[in-house]
Amino acid sequence: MKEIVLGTVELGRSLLTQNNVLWALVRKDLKEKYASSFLGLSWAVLRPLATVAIYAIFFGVVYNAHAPVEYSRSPYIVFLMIGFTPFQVFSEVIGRSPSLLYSNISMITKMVFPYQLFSVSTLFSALIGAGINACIIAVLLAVYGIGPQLSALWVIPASLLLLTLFSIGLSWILSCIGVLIRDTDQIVNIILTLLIFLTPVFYSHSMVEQVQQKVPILALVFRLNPLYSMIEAIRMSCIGDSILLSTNLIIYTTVVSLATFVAGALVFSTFQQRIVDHL
Amino acid sequence: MAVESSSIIDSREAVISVRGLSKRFMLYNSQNDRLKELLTLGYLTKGHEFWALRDISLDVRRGETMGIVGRNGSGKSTLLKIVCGTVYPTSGQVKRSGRISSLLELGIGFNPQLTGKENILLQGAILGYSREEMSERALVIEQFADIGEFIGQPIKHYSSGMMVRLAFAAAINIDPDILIVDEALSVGDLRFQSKCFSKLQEIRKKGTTVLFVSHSIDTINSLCDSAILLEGGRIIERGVPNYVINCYTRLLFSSTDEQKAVEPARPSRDPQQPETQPRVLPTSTSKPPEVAVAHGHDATESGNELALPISAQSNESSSISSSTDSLPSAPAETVQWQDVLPSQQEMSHWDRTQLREWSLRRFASRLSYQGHREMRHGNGKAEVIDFGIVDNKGQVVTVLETGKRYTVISRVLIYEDMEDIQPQVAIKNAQGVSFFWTNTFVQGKNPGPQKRGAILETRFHVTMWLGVGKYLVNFVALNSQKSVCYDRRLDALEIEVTGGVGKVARGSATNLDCEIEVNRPE
Repeated sequence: MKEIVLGTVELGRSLLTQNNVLWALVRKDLKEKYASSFLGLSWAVLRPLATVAIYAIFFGVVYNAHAPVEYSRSPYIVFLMIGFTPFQVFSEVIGRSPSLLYSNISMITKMVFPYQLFSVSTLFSALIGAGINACIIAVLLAVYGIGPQLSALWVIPASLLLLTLFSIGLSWILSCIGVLIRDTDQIVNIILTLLIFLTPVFYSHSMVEQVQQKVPILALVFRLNPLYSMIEAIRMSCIGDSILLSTNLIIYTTVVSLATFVAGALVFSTFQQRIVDHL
Repeated sequence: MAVESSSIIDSREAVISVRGLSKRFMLYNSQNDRLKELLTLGYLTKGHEFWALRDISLDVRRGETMGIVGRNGSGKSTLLKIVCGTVYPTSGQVKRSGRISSLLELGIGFNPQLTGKENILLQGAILGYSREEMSERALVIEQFADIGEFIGQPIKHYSSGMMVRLAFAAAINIDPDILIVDEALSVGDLRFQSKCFSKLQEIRKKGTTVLFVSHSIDTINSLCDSAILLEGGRIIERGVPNYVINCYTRLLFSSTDEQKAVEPARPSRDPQQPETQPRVLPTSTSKPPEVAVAHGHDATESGNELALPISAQSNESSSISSSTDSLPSAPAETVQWQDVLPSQQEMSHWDRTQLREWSLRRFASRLSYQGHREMRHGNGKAEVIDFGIVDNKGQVVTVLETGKRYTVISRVLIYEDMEDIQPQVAIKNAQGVSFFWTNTFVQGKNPGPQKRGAILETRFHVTMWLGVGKYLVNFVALNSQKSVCYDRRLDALEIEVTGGVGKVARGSATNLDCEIEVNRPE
């Protein structure tokens, strides 16, 4: 137990001091992703744009969907993009986690550094894509003349921090399991496909309230997903009128995110010694 | 001879300190077994243990270069990985201080998608260099690796040689405190190898500690201050490189021959080998087979029923006096090299143990016999029972003068009928570098089929063209076509070569038979 605590402290220290390793890993990650393609880094912009465009065309044009009541001052595409961007960060980090240690086997078997940084660098490279999305969203908000609330200044960073902690913690756990059981990769990606429908990307708080009356259990499932409050908080502060989330839900999300992070750190530092043996 | 590495240089601090280190791997017959054990959190044990390393303790001090030798699968690489820190030990402690740079399994963790340069920068970041510092070093590394425009290409397009060049250049040019090299030196071309060697020497002088695995005996001999021999995950020998390498070669060859090794001249240092057991000639213990010997005057006169020492070059025996010194009390060495063999009658009553005792005592009496450092192995079907070096007057010598003629004599006793046997002689220096070896096969003078009980005397007439220094002599009896080693007596004899009268200067490795002519051209 003492070792685990020390290991976690050590990790924290190296995160602060060895930030050049982190950036080197992020650079490596981006280069690996885009190096051999003609359009290179442009894909970091094009891919999320294309995905949102597809959804916008199908839901907004084909099904003629509109943003839910509490976001009525925003067009459907903006509503969709704000929900989709944080989810994509989570989805990208988690989707790559089970195979993360395997794909870096050449480094792990030959170099010594905190391997926790792989998850962290994956998150950072996902955040870079999200940052590009955020710029597009900002342009759209300006074009449609939608002003975010003042609370966005702290709600968005706080939500992103929770998202970061939750994603990294879960990524550490999944990357360890992925080494032991290689099937995790397949299972996790199926779950992620399902998860987009359990996360408020296409729907919102008010729609969940309606579900609450018909199928209470389903509404509970929606709310138990920590991404629920994170995404809705961001969305409400950007294009909504006020933050409608209950205090209990916010506390629950905070606790779950922190707990996941700590659990992930413990699992990883316990398992770290045996990673190479199992690879 | 087993000088503990610590006694040579214990003034320096230990940079790597390993105590009671063991490493266990779990092996599973199938993925399902592994899953079952995982899901029950180890309640169902389906795997079986494999101990790659057991109870390893060692210290490597600042500036020391330690070689690790051992057969494939003896745990060398695992040990290096644990010292590097990529693999964790099951039990025991590893302490290391300073920046470690390692070349494990011919690489330093290159990423195939990235270019050579990007990989170097990434490596530098992980070792704690800032991007600016590393950009400077990258130039030095590029220059050292000398792979031209490939430095800007993704690693996946590299040849294995280029990869190793870059890996080695990167590992050695980042001022490591500890450099760990696993078999990497053997890959590059010769020019690059020599570049690596001189760079290695350079960083050793600066105080870098080097730990490396190699199967190249010469590399270990010429680079290392000390060495360890691993077998079955344990350190079974440690000491100066030459000694450890002799143990290693003995281990290699004794295990390929079907029979157990001839017991060494002195009690085995290998704790795993059983105590030496007297072995008896295969036919009968009570009446050993007729051992035909060259037995002084009687033998040469009484002729044909005796299988005389047949040798390609044994004609010139006039200078060697013969006597019928009654044995087995081995005589003290006299100045003359004596043809002292027990009488046929006597020997016929001896079993193999007695024969060996006699020959051991005989050796012990020989001048300059290196009983304390001799390494001996072989399958025991024939034995080198006597040897010596005599000058042209038949005098036994251990100090030789460069440029003079000498005769190296080896006598082999045959225990079993065999198609062929090749007596061999080799001379190497104290660092183990081989200067000369030859055998009857090389010279096209194979003695041919041998009968059990025969004694084969081979005389190697040589002119001593070696330079000033001390040398060790090996005596071997083998069949190189069948890769059978009957008896290998490594470092059995030490000789010293002197410069003669004004022939070569100290420090000359050889004597080129030089005559100096001084002129004053008009």
